[in-house]
Amino acid sequence: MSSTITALTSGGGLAMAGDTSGQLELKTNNGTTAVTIDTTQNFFVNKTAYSDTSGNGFGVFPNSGVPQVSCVGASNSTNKNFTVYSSTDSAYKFYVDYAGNGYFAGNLQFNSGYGSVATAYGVRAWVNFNGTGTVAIRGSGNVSSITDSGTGNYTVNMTTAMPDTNFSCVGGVGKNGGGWSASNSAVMSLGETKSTTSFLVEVFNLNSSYIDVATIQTAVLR
Amino acid sequence: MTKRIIYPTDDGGVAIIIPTPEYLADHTIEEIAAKDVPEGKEFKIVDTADIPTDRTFRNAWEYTA
Repeated sequence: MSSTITALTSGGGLAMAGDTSGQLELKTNNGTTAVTIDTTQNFFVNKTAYSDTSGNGFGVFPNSGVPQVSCVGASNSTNKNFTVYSSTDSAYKFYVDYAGNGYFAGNLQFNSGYGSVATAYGVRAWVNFNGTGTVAIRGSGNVSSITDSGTGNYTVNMTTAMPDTNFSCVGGVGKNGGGWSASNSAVMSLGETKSTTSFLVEVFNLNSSYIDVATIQTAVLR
Repeated sequence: MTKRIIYPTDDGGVAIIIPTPEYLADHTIEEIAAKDVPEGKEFKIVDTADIPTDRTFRNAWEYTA
């Protein structure tokens, strides 16, 4: 129960009713609960309790253990639960969805020991694979496949295209065990040819021979 | 059974496409072929077990239609 203040569409336009619950509700349209303030000063818009996930609304919970702001949509799996929205171009600038996925329309900036707050640039794709025996991919991000075109010759195919071909490829290879020698070395050539969706990876030794190695790892920065 | 996509290279060899597990989670092998096989190239989808594991003469492998 709650003490209520209700906005009416007829009569005197306002009704008040009290009880001893210590909770307050503001109602609109003759009875729809719009704002609730509970006995521990938790504040809800279009919700009535911390656990209420029905309907779109948000709450500020200064006394529910950890101070927090919560935005909950009617469909938790798809809604942008916490958003910064621009009225100037009608676009989302920042949001976090129910699954914890974050979206930034602008730059991601932080300090983290850099000395000042500055823009950080992301790894747009990466892959780690074994180029020997049955060529196999150990892990990847934004990579749809690799193409094995021959000994020490691979192409990385990216899932989401880069905006241009000016991206930077970085990477390294592990030699196939044993001591160092010209034939047992392994060096990598990256991006000699590339498009917005793929780039060439070549591995060879210091005898100028293409070789297969067990550890090939590369990433794209942009 | 995992799959691979093979197609002939311009120099008479054979290219083998290895799909990533992340992409296969949301796409079919046919969709990967449509995306990553060069346009106009014929291709085949084969079992991974059909690809030789001895790569000693990898550059001598040929595509058979």
